[in-house]
Amino acid sequence: MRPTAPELMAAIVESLERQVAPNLQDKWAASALRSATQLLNHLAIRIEREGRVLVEDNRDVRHVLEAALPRLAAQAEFFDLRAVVEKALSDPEPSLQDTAGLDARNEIYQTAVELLLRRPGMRTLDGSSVYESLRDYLHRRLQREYPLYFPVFTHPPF
Amino acid sequence: MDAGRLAPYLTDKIGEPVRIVGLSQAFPGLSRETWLVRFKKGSETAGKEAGVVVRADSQGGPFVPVPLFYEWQVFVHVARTPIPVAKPLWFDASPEITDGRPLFVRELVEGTTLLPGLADDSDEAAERRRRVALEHAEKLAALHRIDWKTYGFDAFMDVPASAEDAPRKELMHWWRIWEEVRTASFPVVTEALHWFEQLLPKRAAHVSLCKGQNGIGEEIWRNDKIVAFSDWELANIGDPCQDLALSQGMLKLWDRGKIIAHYERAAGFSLPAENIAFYLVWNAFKSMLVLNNGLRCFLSGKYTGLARATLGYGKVKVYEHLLGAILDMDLEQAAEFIVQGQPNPYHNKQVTGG
Repeated sequence: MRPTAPELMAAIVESLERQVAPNLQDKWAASALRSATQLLNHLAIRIEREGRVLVEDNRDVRHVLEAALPRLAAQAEFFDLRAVVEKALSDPEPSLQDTAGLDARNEIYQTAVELLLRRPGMRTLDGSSVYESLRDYLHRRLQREYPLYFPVFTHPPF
Repeated sequence: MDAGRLAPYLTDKIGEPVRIVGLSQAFPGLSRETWLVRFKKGSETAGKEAGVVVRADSQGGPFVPVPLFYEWQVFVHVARTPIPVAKPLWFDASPEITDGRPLFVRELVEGTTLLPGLADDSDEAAERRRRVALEHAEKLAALHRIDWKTYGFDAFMDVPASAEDAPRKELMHWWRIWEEVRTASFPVVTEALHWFEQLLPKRAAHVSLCKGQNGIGEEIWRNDKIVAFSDWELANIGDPCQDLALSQGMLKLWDRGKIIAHYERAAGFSLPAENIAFYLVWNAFKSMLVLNNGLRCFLSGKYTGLARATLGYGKVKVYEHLLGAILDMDLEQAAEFIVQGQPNPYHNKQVTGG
């Protein structure tokens, strides 16, 4: 469908910045407009990439958690975490079109990752391999979602 | 804030007829609302002009997860010291004029919160930046030398058991608050908190009354001098290095080493470089926490001002990435990285406020 959603948003932003912003004398109104254009610029990227980012990230983190599971099962002190990870992995993955479902799923995975990272003994479990895999995943996650937020949100905040 | 409702409110509080002649909201002032009020009191013919500042929780609640009453208490206590501060007048827990949002009122101090032209590319502006940086360092040193026990700050502030305890107390205090206010899971931030824990300064440079957010945008300036310290919501008793680090880019105004040396001469104690480096990075976390707290009202639908989303969501993601990037760095590298990554939003603004 043309124009696409990102094309429409880019046109809205261009019009707001060229025709509306110069005529706004009130600094609060101008600030609200800057926020609006910043959010529209973000949405233009997010509409196109969010689903793909979530699918990739869920697949990635799921793989990391699955790999950690047998190592958690090997030591009694991690039995509670094993249960948390098992629960996180037990629900079916939402369909690729269900962005809200994918996002909810991602939050469940992030909660599990966070619980693992909080446990002091995790850093030395299995010669630190679990911990290293979690850290590596976090770096991949940041890289994956980087275009959603940079450079859009690096502009002045108000 | 509506002048029509404010006049009878001030009349009632002051005990004289009040006519509002000027009412403006300090910009950007997103953390809390700050209203500059100019009025005439007394009879129509013999009216005397006066001014107050009304500080109120924003719609949807403040960004900073600290009650307004805490900041009010800080004002009351600082006003008893030699530190320049606007005279606090009254606190109102649930007034009608703000639809029940708490407020306090203080005297208006003539001056500006920002210094237009400071970032200009000229020799005069460069010399001015040097003067402003040294003025700030001196005033901050004076604050940090205050005997907070004598003035009773320990009656309402948490006090570290020792200089050795102060950095950990700061870390754990805000870590607990983060767990309460964050809007989602942030495993990267969890890792960053462990990074901070491993690199905690061994001891505070001194155990001082610290202002929290300070510098340009946070104080009232007149003729390039600080005539009143203003925002106090993050004030605490702890390591003064945190104030140098959270000074809205003041350390970037001139030679950082010379500014710190000037501060040290005025304060009478030295600031370990690793402490300043730690707090420069720590402030990225603290800023992120505050902004993310501001998103909560947006997510609940209670208040959906757009800045809540750009700051509480967008800027928070930027901070999360900054914190993610420092995980494999040492303290010095991380401090340099964070300082480069955070342009100061205030230095080019043409905005005033008393």
